[in-house]
Amino acid sequence: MIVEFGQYCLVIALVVAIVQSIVPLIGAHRGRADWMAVAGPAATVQLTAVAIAFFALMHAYIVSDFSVINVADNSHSAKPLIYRISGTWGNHEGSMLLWILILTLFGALVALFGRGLPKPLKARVLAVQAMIGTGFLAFTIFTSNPFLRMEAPLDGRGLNPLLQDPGLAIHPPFLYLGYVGFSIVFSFAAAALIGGKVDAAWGRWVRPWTLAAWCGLTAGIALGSYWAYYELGWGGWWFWDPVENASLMPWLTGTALLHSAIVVEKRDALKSWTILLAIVTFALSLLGTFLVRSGVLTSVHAFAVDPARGVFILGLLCLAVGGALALYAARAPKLSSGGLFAPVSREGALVFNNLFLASAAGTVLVGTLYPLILDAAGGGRVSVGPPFFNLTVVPLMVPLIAAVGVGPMLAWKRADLAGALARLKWVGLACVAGAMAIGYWVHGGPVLAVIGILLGLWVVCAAIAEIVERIGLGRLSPAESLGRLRGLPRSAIGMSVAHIGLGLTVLGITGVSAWSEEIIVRAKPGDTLEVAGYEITFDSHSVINGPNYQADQGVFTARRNGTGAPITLISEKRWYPVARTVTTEVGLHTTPLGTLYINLGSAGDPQAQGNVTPGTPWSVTAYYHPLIGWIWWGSGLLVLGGMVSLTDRRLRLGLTGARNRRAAATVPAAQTAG
Amino acid sequence: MAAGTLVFWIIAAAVTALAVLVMIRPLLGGGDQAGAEGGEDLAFVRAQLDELARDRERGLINDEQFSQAEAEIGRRVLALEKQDARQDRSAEPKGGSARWLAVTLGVGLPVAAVGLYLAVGAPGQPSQPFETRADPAAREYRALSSLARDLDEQIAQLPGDLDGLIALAETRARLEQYPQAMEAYRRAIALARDEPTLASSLLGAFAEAVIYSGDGTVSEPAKDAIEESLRLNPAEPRSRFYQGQALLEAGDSAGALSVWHALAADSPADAPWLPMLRMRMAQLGGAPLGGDASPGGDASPGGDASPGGGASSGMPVPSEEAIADMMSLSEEERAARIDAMVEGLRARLEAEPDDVDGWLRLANAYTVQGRGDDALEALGNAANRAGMDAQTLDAVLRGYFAALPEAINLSTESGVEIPPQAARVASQLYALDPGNPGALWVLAKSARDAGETEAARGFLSLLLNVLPEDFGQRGDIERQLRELGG
Repeated sequence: MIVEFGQYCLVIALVVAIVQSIVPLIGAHRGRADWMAVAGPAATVQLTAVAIAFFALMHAYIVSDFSVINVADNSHSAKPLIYRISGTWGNHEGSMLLWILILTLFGALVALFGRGLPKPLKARVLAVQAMIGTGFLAFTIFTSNPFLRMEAPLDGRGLNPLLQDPGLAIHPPFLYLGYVGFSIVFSFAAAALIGGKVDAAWGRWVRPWTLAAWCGLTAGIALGSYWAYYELGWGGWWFWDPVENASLMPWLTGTALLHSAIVVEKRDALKSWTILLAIVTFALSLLGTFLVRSGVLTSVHAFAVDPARGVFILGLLCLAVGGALALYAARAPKLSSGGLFAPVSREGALVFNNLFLASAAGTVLVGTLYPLILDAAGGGRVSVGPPFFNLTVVPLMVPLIAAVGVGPMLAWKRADLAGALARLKWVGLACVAGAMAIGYWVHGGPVLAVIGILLGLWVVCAAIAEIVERIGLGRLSPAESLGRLRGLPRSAIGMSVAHIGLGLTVLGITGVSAWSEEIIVRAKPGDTLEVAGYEITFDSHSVINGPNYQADQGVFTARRNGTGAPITLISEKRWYPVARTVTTEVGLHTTPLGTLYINLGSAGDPQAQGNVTPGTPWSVTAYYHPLIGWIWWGSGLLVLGGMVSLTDRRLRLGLTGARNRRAAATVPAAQTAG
Repeated sequence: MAAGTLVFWIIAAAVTALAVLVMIRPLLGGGDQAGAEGGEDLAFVRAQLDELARDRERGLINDEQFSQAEAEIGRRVLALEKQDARQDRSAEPKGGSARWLAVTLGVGLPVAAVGLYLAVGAPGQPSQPFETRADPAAREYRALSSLARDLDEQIAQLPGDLDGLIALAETRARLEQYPQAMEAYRRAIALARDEPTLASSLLGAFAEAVIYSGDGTVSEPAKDAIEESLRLNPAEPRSRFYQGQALLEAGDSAGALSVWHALAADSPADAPWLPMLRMRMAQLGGAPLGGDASPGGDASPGGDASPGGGASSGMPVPSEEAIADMMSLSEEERAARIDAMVEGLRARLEAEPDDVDGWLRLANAYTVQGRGDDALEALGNAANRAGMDAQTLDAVLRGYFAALPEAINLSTESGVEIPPQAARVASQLYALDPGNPGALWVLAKSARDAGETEAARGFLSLLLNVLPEDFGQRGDIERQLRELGG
C-alpha cells in the first residue's frame, strides 16, 4: 500500500505543479494578490507530495519490495542496508525522483524564505519553477515511472557493485543540488523577464540561490572526482569524459553568474548578461541531464533504439531554453542599462572573469558535443580527449587565475590597476621566487609546472594580502585590525576563503600533472618495489569474503627511503558474483605533500578469481601523486567560502524583508543595526 | 486485501482534501490581501544605503567612494518611488473570481489526481516486502537464503568443512546464485581430491552451475569440468547427461542419443533424472513435440532439422538454437512452451489418429509432465492402433511402465492395478515374443490382481528364466514367487 500511496502522491504533485504554474502567473499579470498567494502553499504541497513519493520508493528499497519493477531491477535482498537506501537514486527512475525532490525543495524554500521578495516576482518565480516541475513530473510518470508494479520475483536482479561505495552513494545528491539548484536561478531570470524588471534588488535576491546551487555543484564535482580517483583504480582524478564535462559546464557558467550577479547588485549593471547567464547555466544543467539520461553518450544509435526518454528530455530542454531565450529576446532590449564603469575597475575585472569562464564553458561544450554530432551525422566515431581540453581550457584558465589575484583589489567604477599591482608587487615577487624554488627543488621542473605553481601561490597570497590590507593588519593596532575583521561582510570573507581554495586546487593540479611518478610491476608476496623514494613491500595476499563479494586483498608496507615509519596500504580486487563484476579498492596514504596510491591488479589469468596458485605474480601499480590532495582540500575551501558567503546577513532573505521594512522608516540614521 | 484498498483510498482522500484546502486557503481569505506590490524594492535600496554608511564607519570605504555610491543609490530610490506610484494606480480591484477558482481547484484537482492515478497506478496491489511475503516459494527462498548465509559464516570459521561447502554450493545453486555456487563447488572440489567419486559428482554439479550461469549451453569451462569428472568416475550420471548435451550442441545428435541411452540403461528405475532424460531422448529420437512436423515425419519446411541430421528415426530434431532457446527460458516459460508444444501435438494426432509413434511421444510428454491419466489415454490410443508388431507393442508397454512407475513396484501393497489395455498389449506381445520380460511381468501382475495365483506363478517363473542371472531385482521376484506359492 505504501508503494501505491507513493504513486498517488507523485500524481498529486503533478496536478499541483500544473495549478502552480498557471494560477500565480495570471495573478501576477492581473495584480491579484489572492491568486498569487496560491503559489506558496502549492510549492509546499508539491514538496510534501514528492517527498512522500520519494520516501515511499526508498521504503520499497529498504524492505526489498520486488513487486516494484524498479526495485526488482536494481536491488537485491542480499544488499547491505546503506546501499539499498542509496540504490533508491542509483538508477534512472529513482534519480529522476531525487531530481524532482530537489527541484521542489528549492521551490518550497523560496516560498518559505522569500518573504522579502516582491509578491509578483515571487509568484512568477514559483510559477516558472512549477513549469519545470510539471515537465519533469510528467517525464517521470509517463516515461520513467519508478512505481510500476508486477508479480514479485523471488529476488532482485540489481547489485551494481560500483554503486556500493559511499562516495558514489552520496555524490549524486550533491551534484543534483547543484544542477537542480540552478533551476531556481533560471526561474528568477524568467520571472524578471516576464515582469520586465531587473534591478539591483533582483541581483541580491538571486545571489543566495546561485551560491547554494554553486556550493552543491562544486561539492558534487569534487566528490565525484575523488570517487573516480580511488574507485576506478586508474590513478587519475579527472578524465574529461562527457559525464564529467556535463557537470563542469554549468559549474563554469554558474561561477560566472555568481560574479556577474554581484555587479547587478552593486552597480545595477550587466543585467542583460546576467539574465542570459542564468538561462544558459540551467540550460547546461538540463543538457547534462539529457546527455546522461538519454543514452546519447554511449551511442547516438542506442538513443535511437529507445528514444522516448531522450526525446522527452530534449523536448523539455528545447521548451525551457527556447522559451526563456525567446522571452529574453523580446524583453532584454528594454532592460534599462545601469551604472557605467571604466574597463579597469572591479566591474571590468568581473567582466574579464565572465568572458574567460564563458569561453571555457563554450570550449568544453564544443569538445563534448562535437563527437556526438559527428557520429549522428554519419561521420564516424571520434574521441575528443584530454589533449584537446588541456590545450584549450588550460590557456583560458591561466589569465583568469592571474586576474583572480588582482580583481578584489580594484575599486568599483574606476580603479587604478597600477596602484593595485603595486600593492601586490611584494606578493608577486615572493610568489615568483617561491614557484621557481619549488620548481627547481622538486625536479628541475618543467616551465609549465613553474607557471602553475606561480599562479597557485599568486592566488592564495593575493587573497591573503587583500584581507590583510582591508583590515589594516600591521598598519593599525592588532585590536583595531581584529575589529575590522569582525566588521568585514561575511561575503568578503567567503570570497577570500574561496579564492584561497582555488589557489590550492591550482597547486594540486599542477603538482599531480607535473611530478607524478608511476610504476607497474608484476610482483609476488615478498617482493619489493620502489616509487618516488618509497620502498613498498608486497607483504601478503589473501582471499577475503565480503557481504556480497569475494576479494583478493593485497597488503603492502611502504617506508619512505626504505627506513621511515612503516605505512600499511591495503588494496583489494573485489569480485561481485551476482553482478559478475570486478571492482578495485585502492590503497591510499595521503600526506600534505602527496599521496601514495597502490592498486592490486590481476594475477596471471584474470578468470582465475580466487583460484590463484601460490607464487603467481600479481600486476601491481603504484603511483606517487604530489599535492593531489590539495585539489580536494581546495574544493572544500571553495564550498566553505560559498557557505560563509551564504551566511552573510544581507543574503538571508526572510530576515532582510522584515528588518529592512523597519529600517526603511529610519533611513539613513539606523547605522547601528547589526 | 480489500480492506487494505479501502484504507488506501481513505488516506488518499484525506491527503487530497488536505492538499486542496492548503492551496485554496489564500483564495478564501477575503479581500485584505489585495494591493500587491509592497515596498520590497524600496526597502532593499534603503538597506543598501544603510550598509554603505556602515562600511564607511568601519573604514572599509573612503568618503569619496561613499558619496559616489550614495548619489547612485539615491537616484534608484527616486526611480522606484515613481514606479510604485504608477503601480498603485493600476492595481486591479478584487473581484469574485477567487471563489470560482477555489471551487474549480477543489473539484478539478481531486478528479485529475484520481483519474491520473487510475491510469498509471496499480490500485489495490499490496506491497510485498521481502521478509513478510507469505507465498511458499518466497518462504522457501528466504529459508534457503538464510541457510546460505549461515553456511557462509560456518565456512568462514571452518574453511576446510567439506560437507558445509557442498551444502552451501547446493543451496546457492537452488537459489540460482550460480556464480556463488560455482565458487563453493570449486573450493569443495579442491578439498575432495582424495575421493574420486565425490570429486567427480562435485565436478558434474560444478559444470551444471557453469552452464546455468551462462547462456545455458555447455561452455568450454563446463566441458573441461565434465571431462575431468568422467575421468574420475566414468559412471557419474550428471556429467554423462551434459556430455550428451555437449555432443548435441556440437551437432552430433546420434552421439548424444547413444550417451543418453547408455545413461538411461545404467540408471536405477527411480532415478530422479529419468523423466527429464526420457523427455530429452524423446525430443531427439522422434520429432520435436511441436505440432509443426509434417505428416510422415519429414523435416518441416521451416528448416528446423538439426545440422547433424541423422537422428535414428529420421525425424527432425530440435535445432541447437531451439535447445539453447529452451534452456535460456525461465522455469515457467519453459513449462508454458512445452505445454504449447504438447497441445500442438495432440491437436495434430486428433486429425491424424493413426500415428502410433505420435501417440507414444504424446504419452511420454504427459508422463514427464506428471499428467498420468492423459498419458494412459494416449497410450490407449497407441495400443489400439499398434497392430501385431512386436517392436511397436514393446514401445507401448514401455510407455505404460513409464506412466505407471508404481506398476513396476514388486510389492503387493502397491495397489496400482495394471490397466486392462496394458494387460492386452502384454498378452499380444507375449504371443509374438514369449521371452519379453516386460510382457511377462505385466501378465504376472495382472493375473495376481485378478486372483489367478497359478497363472501369476507361471509367468513369474518364465520371467526368472529369461532374466539375466545378475538382474538386480531377481531376489524380489523370487520372494514374490514364494509368497504366491505359500
